[in-house]
Amino acid sequence: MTTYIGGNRSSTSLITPSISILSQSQSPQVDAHVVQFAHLELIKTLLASASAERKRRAATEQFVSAELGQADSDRPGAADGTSDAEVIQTEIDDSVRKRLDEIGFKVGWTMAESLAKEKPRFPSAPPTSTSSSSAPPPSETHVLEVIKFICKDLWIALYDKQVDNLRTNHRGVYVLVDNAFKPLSRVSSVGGSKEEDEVARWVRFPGAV
Amino acid sequence: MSLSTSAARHKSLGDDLYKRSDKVNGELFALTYGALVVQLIKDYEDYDEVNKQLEKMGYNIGVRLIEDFLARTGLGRCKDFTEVGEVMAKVAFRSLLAITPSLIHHPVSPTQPKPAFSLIFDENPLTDFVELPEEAVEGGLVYAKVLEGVIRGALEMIQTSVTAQIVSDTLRGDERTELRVTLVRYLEEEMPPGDD
Repeated sequence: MTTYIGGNRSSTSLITPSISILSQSQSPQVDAHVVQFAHLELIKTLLASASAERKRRAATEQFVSAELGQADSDRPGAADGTSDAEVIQTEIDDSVRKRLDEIGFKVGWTMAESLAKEKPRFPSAPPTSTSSSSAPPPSETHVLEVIKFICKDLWIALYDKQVDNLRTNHRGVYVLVDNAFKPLSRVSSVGGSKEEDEVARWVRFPGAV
Repeated sequence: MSLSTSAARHKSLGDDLYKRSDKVNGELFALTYGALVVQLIKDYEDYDEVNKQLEKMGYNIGVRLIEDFLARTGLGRCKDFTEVGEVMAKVAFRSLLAITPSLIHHPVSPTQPKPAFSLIFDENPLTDFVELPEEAVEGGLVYAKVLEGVIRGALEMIQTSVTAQIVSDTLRGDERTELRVTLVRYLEEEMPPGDD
């Protein structure tokens, strides 16, 4: 899929970042409720597809090993009668988490790419790029730039506000606090551990982004 | 028919709702959907199945969406299927996705016993920056299939059973993207459980 390449690469000092955001904001808006419903369904769909894929894979493996005349004994939780329902569920949960991660990663990468183009003051390549560029090893200030970028530009582009609070333990861990995080504000509590799981899933997606 | 005044009313209703409600970056939405489609293709390796899953997902979204939509717009019953099309194009799509698809009514005829309408999409936040690879096109992937499901689900919740189908798709090389909604029947108050 192609990504959108647009925006103006102006470097004149007259155009402050806020103005250039305005001009670039061809970005369409969709209704928040739609996105929330879609989010929920996305997770459900991924669950279904993850388990379908797993079945398919297990079936192929069984087929292959049957062809080769081997017993497929060394796969834990293989899809024959010996598999434990719980093990399957954890496997599926894991693969769903992995998928949400990947999706979030892709989305985050693309958004960061298009956003970082607008920022002439940003010294190095977009934050999620690999070390293929000849940039010096990330110094403290470089990392800070990245975090600031996330808190301000990325968050604004995605959720229309800035991150409320930023904490660090000075050992490489940053905590981004956002009160009234819109995408989560409407998740009703089903109660118990299931809710935690759900909420964790919801958070995983923005986290991966 | 007072279509002109109700059309204007629908339009302003759509605009109002759009202005009033919270919004989310459309790119985020489009990117998320795109990544999901990619993942589904990887998982199912079967474009028909992916289509089905997208439609099912849309159906579930539509089922929830309609209540929310009706609550926020305060719209009452549509008096006929034509009005359903009007409201869908001018209020729903406008306020929810910030686009206004063109509407074409297909009146009842001998070859077409049930009323239908078509939505023509000039722009679509889901598909605007998307290009399908050859094999997806050949395999029959309908990228925006989710929309079919949303419409079907939403209308079923208001006792209207329809088929919604994307009959032409710019992503697959057609000239325009057209989604055709055909009435199947009106449902009784008590809907039988289960799938259709």
